[in-house]
Amino acid sequence: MRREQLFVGLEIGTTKICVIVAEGLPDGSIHILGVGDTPSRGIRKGEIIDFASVTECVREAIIDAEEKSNVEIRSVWVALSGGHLQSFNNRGIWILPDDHDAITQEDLRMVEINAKEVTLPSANAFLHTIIQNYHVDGNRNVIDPEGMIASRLEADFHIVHGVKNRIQNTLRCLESLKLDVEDIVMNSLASAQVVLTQQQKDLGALVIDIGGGTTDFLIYIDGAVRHSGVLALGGDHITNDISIGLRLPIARSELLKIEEGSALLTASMNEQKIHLKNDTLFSGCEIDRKALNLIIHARVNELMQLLRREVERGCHLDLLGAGIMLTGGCSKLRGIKKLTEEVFQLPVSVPLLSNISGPTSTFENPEFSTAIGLTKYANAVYTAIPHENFFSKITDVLGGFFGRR
Amino acid sequence: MPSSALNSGSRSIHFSYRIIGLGNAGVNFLDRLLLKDPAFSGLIALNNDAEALAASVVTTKLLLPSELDDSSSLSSEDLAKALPQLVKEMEQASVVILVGGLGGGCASTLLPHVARMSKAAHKTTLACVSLPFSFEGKRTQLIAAQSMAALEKECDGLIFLDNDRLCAKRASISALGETFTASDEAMEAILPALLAILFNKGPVRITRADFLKALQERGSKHSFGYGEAIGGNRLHEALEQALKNPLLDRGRCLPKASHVFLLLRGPKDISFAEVQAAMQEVERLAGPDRDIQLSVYPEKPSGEPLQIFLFAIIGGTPAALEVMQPLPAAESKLPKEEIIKPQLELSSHETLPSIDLLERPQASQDEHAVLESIVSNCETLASSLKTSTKGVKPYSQEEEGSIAPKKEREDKRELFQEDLFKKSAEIPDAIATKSLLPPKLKQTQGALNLKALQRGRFDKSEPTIFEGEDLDTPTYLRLGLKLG
Repeated sequence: MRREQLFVGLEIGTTKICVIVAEGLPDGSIHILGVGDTPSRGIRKGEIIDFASVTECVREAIIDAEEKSNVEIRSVWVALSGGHLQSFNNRGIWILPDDHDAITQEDLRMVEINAKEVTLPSANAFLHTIIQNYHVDGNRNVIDPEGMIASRLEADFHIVHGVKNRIQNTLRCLESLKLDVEDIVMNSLASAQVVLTQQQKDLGALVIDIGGGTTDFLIYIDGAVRHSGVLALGGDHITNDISIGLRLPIARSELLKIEEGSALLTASMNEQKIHLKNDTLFSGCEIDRKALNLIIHARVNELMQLLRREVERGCHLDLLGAGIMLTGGCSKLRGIKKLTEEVFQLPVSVPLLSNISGPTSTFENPEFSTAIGLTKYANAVYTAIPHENFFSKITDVLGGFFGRR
Repeated sequence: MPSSALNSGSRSIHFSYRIIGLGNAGVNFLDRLLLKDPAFSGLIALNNDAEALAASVVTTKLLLPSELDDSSSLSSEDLAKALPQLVKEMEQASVVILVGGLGGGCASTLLPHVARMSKAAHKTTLACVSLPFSFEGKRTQLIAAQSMAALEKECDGLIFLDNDRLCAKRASISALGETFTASDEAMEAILPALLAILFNKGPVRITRADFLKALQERGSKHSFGYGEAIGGNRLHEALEQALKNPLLDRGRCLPKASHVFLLLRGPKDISFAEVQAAMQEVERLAGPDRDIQLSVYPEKPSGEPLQIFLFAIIGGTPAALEVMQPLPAAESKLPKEEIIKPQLELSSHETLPSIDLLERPQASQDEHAVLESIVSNCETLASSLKTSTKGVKPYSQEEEGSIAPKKEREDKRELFQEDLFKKSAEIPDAIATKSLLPPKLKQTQGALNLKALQRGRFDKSEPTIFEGEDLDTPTYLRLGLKLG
């Protein structure tokens, strides 16, 4: 097996750090070789707040993955999230020089550079410039213009940017572990690679990845990314609300949310009591199921309302022909699917990850969708880019964050 | 036709307007609008700076040909010939709004010509311009004044943003960048509000003719404030924000206004009571005989913030215009905030004169001389107060364990306050005595910050603020849901 076909996806999440070692197959699918994960410390809302703790947790997760996959990990693809990430769409325009017969790779690069000629906040850096479609001499929606004869090339891009220092902190953490970073990928973009099929991307779909600290979303319409964003709200907020509302320790609240919580309010829950058993440093008690579900419902409903507003800023909901795909650890919460349907008035599903083989328990668990998606994204990039250009592209991306360019 | 950001909800009414940003400032305003709300359309960037234009996120960008750079020979006909796309865009609109910052080369020159082009095409033409800061130099001010005079003739309505007035109260404490940002934010707020007034399809509207007539009053000055809020107390919070705007001076300029326009825009659930309360409050501040016109535009889904936009047109009487004059340069010597802001509440001496320096003592006196005398008097009083308080320790400075008996403390306080009173009586009335008093004597009982406690595990992390609400606070608490 060639070394280049092994990809390692690393997600530094608010509740867990997850490492997936996978083998990329020529048909675009991936085979998972091993999974390493560890509960995370020092992360809040997707961002590092305790550098040393995070570094230690990443080390543990990497070692775990190495042991399970029997692969020595040297480089990783990293998922990134956080409320600082923002996006917008912009069009680049490039008038081809007179001596050009046809559109070349250089022209495509120039139109991308032009699209990025926008004034970002001084502290921010570009994370992704994702092509939506090309326009060649006014001919709209050209998929691959290379080789076409033209005088004017335009291209629409979805541009994602974030606070440079916060992105660098993640990289610095991995640098201290002597790990090479092959690329940084926005959480939702990675998740979408395994949650959506090409057909769904063409039809129009919204991916909502609800993690512990953040909720990431991404919209595909006509096969291209149209809108994306991050809300610094996640499962931790539900746990925190339960902890405050029912006066329970955080750990007990988390367990209660997973075992008994539901985002739906039903008449049958009114008189029901939940008995919490004695535990270390916690004397048992009885709580109302109604109170628990009311707290969860309020938070999840608010989250979905906010998401709906954010999504509507980028596209009309009618364009989401394939509906909404929920993923991330919090998508396992009871009733969240139905509540999302009520808020968006669209079909919602919690899909199984596609085109993956390996340990079933891994890819049936939506918690791992981002890390698995990273490996699939890596495989797609590897397949699309000629081998000799592969690593130069990666260096370009990371060079931007470390100021080498 | 541009589909307006006014309709971010399910309706899709197409409005025929074009907003043309001229020059670097104008294009920057449009960029900010677009970055804040990508649904905004009908925006056109026109500039002679190709680099700045390339950096803009506006879709329709027009570069002024270099041969038209010579402002002396430029005419609107030349402009129309050189920029056919601009003419075409104008033809598709019923209202053309021109945006730019006066004082520079491009916008100051182009604005009157573009306005003439628009008027020639029989379009309602409005201009929204910002005036330069005084520190930008006399020449810049002169260019701005000339351009504004020309614009006034060409436009159906001219709204201008006086940057000096907007940032005067924060001048001493703000970074330079912040003052520019404040100016940009003000313009960012005025454009959507303007569109909402002009294209309101809601139940209560201001007729376009009335609005334009008010704008056309020669020599009138404009003041506006804006605020937005969500939640149960959204009306009061939004109105408070609007009135806090330095241009409205906490509503003190409203009684001088010839026309006041009040716009309530936001969710469909704006209640009758809210509209009534807003109108009552503005009427109370402006006076019952003012011409107050109301527009309500409830077009957004529930949960969206309620936005209030208050627009006052002050014109006619010399007294009214005086209120709106830019601050004199000498003001910088004495930060206004320090003079106005009460530093001590003297409950036992309610008769202390409390004259606001904003109300000038005598119109005939030279302002510079008055301010200089105030400065010197302040210094004298401050030094004399320092001497007089030498023997008396304020309570806050009392050492632990050596607290005097209550009677003695009260005596000391009375003595101290009497001394203050005597000193303050010696200085001219024009000096606001409350500003010159030492820090608060009374200790106030601390209150527990219960809000912070409600954030639980997020107590020490960066708050997640979304449209003014701290989302780390449990939702059920913010909604006031009862769990029991």
